[in-house]
Amino acid sequence: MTPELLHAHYLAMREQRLVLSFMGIVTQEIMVEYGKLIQAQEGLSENNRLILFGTFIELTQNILRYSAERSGSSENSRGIGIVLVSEQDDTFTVSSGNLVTTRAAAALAGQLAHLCTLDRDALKQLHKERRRAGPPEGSVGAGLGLIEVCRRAAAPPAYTLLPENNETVFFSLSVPIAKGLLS
Amino acid sequence: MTPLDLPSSDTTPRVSYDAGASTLLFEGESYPENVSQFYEPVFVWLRDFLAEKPAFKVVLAFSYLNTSSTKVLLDLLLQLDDYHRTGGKIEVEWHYRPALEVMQEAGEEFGEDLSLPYRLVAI
Repeated sequence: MTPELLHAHYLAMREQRLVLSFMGIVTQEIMVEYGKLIQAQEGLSENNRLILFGTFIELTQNILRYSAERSGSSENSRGIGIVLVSEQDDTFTVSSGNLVTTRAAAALAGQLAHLCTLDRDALKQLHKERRRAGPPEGSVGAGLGLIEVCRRAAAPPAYTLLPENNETVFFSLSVPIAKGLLS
Repeated sequence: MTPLDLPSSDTTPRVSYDAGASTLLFEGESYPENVSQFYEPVFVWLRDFLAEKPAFKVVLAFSYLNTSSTKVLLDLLLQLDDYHRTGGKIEVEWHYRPALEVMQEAGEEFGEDLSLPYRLVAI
């Protein structure tokens, strides 16, 4: 990357009030260290800081486990992706992006469209049922995590599924978390 | 009885059995990369332990659980519930810090799925 491009990237990220960002091979170690930064983040209640941390962990583990872009041998491979935390006036937002297969994208689109129509009580109920029953037939695996993420979000998460080619789709998700401070 | 004392790590809780106090303790955060692999020795230990028909207490003092850990913990609690329903003497306490409403709520939700003696304790 040229210094000029890096500067443009820096300005864009500053404009977004970036708290942290990572792009590359997601390892458990990286997740733990970034998680520690979030656990030390100021400007939100202790409870909401745990929600922010939990959302970061779920989205990062999704990249690690399910990204279609991977590094390493199949058994110990790590997912590649991007994860950001940014700040707004009343929220922090955790955003994640990674490639998924076209088949997984279809399942994700269906699942997220459904989850975004449910209110908090319905999400709580679904979480309980799914936890007891295990993942549904043909699940891409992240069932419980996405339900929990939607349930704790300040508003339904925004997501996009942008086809890269016939086999892969770029999946991105942005989850706002309330600061939970008394105004 | 085999002792059980797994020290905590960044992503796993301390899991230990105190024979003097007859208490099985889980304490800390739980979001391991491979949740089944981490909890497998606990399930193995528990199976052998329950075969001795002990009277004991379980203290769950988690400060964070990811969703795959909550699934495994529910499986473990349902085994304890079976033990209770077949006459086993067991009680479970969920310890939480009042500032963490999400952890209180998590404790309440586990309780709703169980029939064994279960109480929430604010620490």
